Amino acid sequence: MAVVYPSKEWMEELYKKVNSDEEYKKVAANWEGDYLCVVELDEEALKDFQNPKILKGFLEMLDSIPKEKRERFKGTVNEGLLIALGLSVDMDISSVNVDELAKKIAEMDPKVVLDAAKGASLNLWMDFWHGELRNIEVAAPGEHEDAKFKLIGPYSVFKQLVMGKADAITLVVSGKLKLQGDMGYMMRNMAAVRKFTELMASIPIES
Amino acid sequence: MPKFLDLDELTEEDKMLKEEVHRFAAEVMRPASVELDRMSPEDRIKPDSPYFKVFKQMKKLGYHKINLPEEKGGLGLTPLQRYMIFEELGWGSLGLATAIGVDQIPFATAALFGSEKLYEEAVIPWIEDDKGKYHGCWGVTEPEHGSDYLIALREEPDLLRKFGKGNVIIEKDGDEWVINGQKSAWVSSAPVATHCGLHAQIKDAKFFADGAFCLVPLDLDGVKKGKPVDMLGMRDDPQGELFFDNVRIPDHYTIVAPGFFYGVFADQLLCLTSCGMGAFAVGLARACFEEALNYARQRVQGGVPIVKHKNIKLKLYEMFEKIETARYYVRKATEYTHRKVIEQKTTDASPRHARAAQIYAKKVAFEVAHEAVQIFGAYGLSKEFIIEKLFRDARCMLIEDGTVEVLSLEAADDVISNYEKDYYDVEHITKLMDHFER
Repeated sequence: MAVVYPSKEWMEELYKKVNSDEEYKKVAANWEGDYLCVVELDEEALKDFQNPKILKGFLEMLDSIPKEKRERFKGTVNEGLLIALGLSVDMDISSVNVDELAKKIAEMDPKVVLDAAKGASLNLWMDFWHGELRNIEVAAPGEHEDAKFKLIGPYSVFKQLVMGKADAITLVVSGKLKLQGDMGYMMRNMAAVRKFTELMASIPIES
Repeated sequence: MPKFLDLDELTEEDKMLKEEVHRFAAEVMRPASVELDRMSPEDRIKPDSPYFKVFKQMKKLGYHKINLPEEKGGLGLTPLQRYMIFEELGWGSLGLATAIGVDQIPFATAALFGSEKLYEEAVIPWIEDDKGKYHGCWGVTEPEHGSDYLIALREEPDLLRKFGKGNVIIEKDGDEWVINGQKSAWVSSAPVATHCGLHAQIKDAKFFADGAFCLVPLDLDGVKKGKPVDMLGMRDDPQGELFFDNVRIPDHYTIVAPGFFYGVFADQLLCLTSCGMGAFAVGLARACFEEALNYARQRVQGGVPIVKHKNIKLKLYEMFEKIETARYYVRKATEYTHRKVIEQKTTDASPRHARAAQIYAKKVAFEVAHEAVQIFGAYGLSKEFIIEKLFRDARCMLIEDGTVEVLSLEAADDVISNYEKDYYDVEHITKLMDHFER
């Protein structure tokens, strides 16, 4: 079944996909380590947020961050993004009228929003351990900064990866995505990295 | 059909492919290579040159697509089949085989590591080309840097500093990259190429291996080509300089961006080309051996064919032994390397094993060619027999695509540092990056 990206459903689908794949279990049997994906806000994200389904998915992901951790947004560029969209850290995100907000975003000048929220990102943390995806969650600013690997790039580039339009190696090799961490470890486990990205790209995305 | 016992169990498809490629090597490549060898460098690149006839025929047969994965427009060949094609091409002509090899480098690399946009713009027209409209070359060697380009990743930082600046510099400018500088006269196929897979050093690079790899259409403003050079051997593959004066390419034409992965890419690309060169060398060695064997069976001296002379028997056996050991080692290294880079796409082939395939087979080709000339006696020195040309080609092999000395030194570093490791270790790259980042 096709799911919206980004959304909690997509995260759940990815979790199920990885943990039910026998080949992944085999190739990643020795893998120990977590990833922090830093998905940077860009013009394409703002364009996609004009689609109420995608906006809803994004807001639900933010809403999945426990209340006590949302304090970490305060004073960061990510809070700047919420403010630019007319939201706030303390509000009940689930009560937002998504259709109205999507319309409002469509009327906004993307340059103004991007200027106000320069460097804002949606951070996704994934914890892999011996062939299993143990956990996948949206991270608050500053959380899991010590992850074994950090993958950083614009929303539009991550979207290409998720939709299977480009593979991770191509995006990293061409410098579109930046990968930080123990590169020797990663190169020794390229089969696991490649299998995971293939599984991620195999999830049908609702357009 | 090339007649020799193959120790691998070949399928009917393998046998048919081998026969088809051998026919192309014998009937198209070989006669054209002899003709080209005797032409002036200028005549070799004229539109009516036999070079282009071979190239057009090769494109029609689709051999340019052999290293592409099937999902990227490849022919769905096995690593063994790719090896067999390369050996037969090397048998036909080392120069033309090299031309067919370097044609693939910019485009196959773009297919493996480039963006979808670049694939559609540049790779698809090249895949579909059956008239020889597109021709790639590989821009590595520079006036101040030859084989040291290959060892830069494994050198000590202090020595690396002494390597100086690259002669081709690339710089980001908005959505484009700007290229300036010169590649030296030894770029195979440069005088006839339409595109170059170019290695360039980034402006203000911290160290010599701090570079990028890009696809450069050679009809862009600012590109100039030097005159084709007159060489000892491999004369059937024109070589010449490339000059870049503020040449601008779009961002997506830079396939490998500066950084850690440029190091991995350079290492792994050399694994692929090492297997290709190894297979060419086996083909060339086999061609020399077969010429010598046939000559020795017919040439009568002392009342008997010289093949009955014990010293000739011994030489022929030793040549056979060298070729057979080279073939099966290069095949094994090719199977491993292609599995890692083309099929599984994990870019973790073993540099020391791939280099050994190239170095060992190149040395074998030269030794076999040398002995073959000796069997021919004075006739081996005359242009009446092809062995004279094959010997000159074999001599060139010890230098082209990296001298055997530099390749051996680079492989030695990998052996010494990583022999016990059963995986591709990138510490040599991370160490350099850490050192120069400080």
